[in-house]
Amino acid sequence: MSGHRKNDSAYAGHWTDWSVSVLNGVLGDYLCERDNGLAIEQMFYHRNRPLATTTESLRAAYPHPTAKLCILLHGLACNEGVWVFRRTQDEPARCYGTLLQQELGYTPFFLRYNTGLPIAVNGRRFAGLLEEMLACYPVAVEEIVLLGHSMGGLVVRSACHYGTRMKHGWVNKVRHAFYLGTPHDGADLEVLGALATSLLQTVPHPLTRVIAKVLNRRSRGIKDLRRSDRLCEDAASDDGSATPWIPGAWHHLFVGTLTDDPQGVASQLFGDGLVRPPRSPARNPAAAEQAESRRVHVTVFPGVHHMGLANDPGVYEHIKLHCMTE
Amino acid sequence: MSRLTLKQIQGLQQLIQDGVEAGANATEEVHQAIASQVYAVLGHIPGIARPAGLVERVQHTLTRGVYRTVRAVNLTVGQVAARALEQFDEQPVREPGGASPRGLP
Repeated sequence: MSGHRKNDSAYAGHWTDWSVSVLNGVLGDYLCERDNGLAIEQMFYHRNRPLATTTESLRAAYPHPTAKLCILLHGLACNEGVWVFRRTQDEPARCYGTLLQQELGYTPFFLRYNTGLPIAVNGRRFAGLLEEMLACYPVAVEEIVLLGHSMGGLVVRSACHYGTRMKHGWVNKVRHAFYLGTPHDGADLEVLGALATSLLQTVPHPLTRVIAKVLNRRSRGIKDLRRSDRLCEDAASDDGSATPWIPGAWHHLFVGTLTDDPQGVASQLFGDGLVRPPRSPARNPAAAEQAESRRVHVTVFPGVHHMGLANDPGVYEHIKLHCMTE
Repeated sequence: MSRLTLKQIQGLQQLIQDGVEAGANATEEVHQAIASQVYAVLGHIPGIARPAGLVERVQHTLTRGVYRTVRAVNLTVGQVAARALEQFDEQPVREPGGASPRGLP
């Protein structure tokens, strides 16, 4: 048992990995501007190490590549260690990616990225990286499943937007996109943060102004969570609510709630603790468009909190079921 | 187990230096602004206004000097640390396929 724990900590990252990820979440754009060595470069990671997008490197990392890929994107201030869980206390640690590999034959890829950068920047880079990786992948890819936790889901949507616009080949291979606790309608915590900053700036006292300045230093990635219309960089698409969800793929919105009663006041007000359930499709044109085409599912997981959505056996069973049946 | 790379340690050194600089700037700003509020009140009191103005100038100069010293020391320490770190070589990145717990990516 103690051996498992020791190994888990080795995988999920030493505290230094987590510290760097948190730092990137909070100040990632600043680190990038300063060309600071702590800034995370967006790459796929394998066994806690960056994976070069070359055929040799992919062959070495995946000796038995399959034609089905699943790609996992973590959320704000996290890294791929967020996906790790155990089904029972005595079992070794697992994650959605490796379970999909063992049970359904998907080859898992884990993206690590600087979550402090604008979502649109990460989305554009991810679209390019995926295209680059597929060009080197040793086997012809037939199907792609994308899993994004929290901010990762927005990066998926942004990448799909850029991939479509740049006519990338991978876009048509996406069969499922899973959005786990993704703030499609914006995150209330960031709305509160922005409000607090504005209020402090209006108070005519030097101390509050300095506090406001410090709060305002938070990364563009965090600020982008305030609204759901920051998925593309160009001004022409400023009304991001119209950013289309790629057709041809199934879109699964997984929502957690703090309590076991999804209709309860706490669940309605606070959702999974950080993200509230998505608004009704009628108020969201992009979601309505998908709902009409019957390719969007919303699944509520009562009692599963925000971080739990990335590493919950019950959530995995739903992912597996969708991948098997649709 | 992963440790910080040399590039990351250099980044940390740069970040600490930036943090001390920004902290000194912010503290000086608050310090001077709050002190100015006191002198502004004293400046309205007949008989005290003039000496208060003189004291304010002296205090302002001394305060600015202290924060300048903090920034200069920070810059020097940062440059020395950066030079020292340049003496180390970056460890080569290992190829994928290294040890990892069973069932994990």
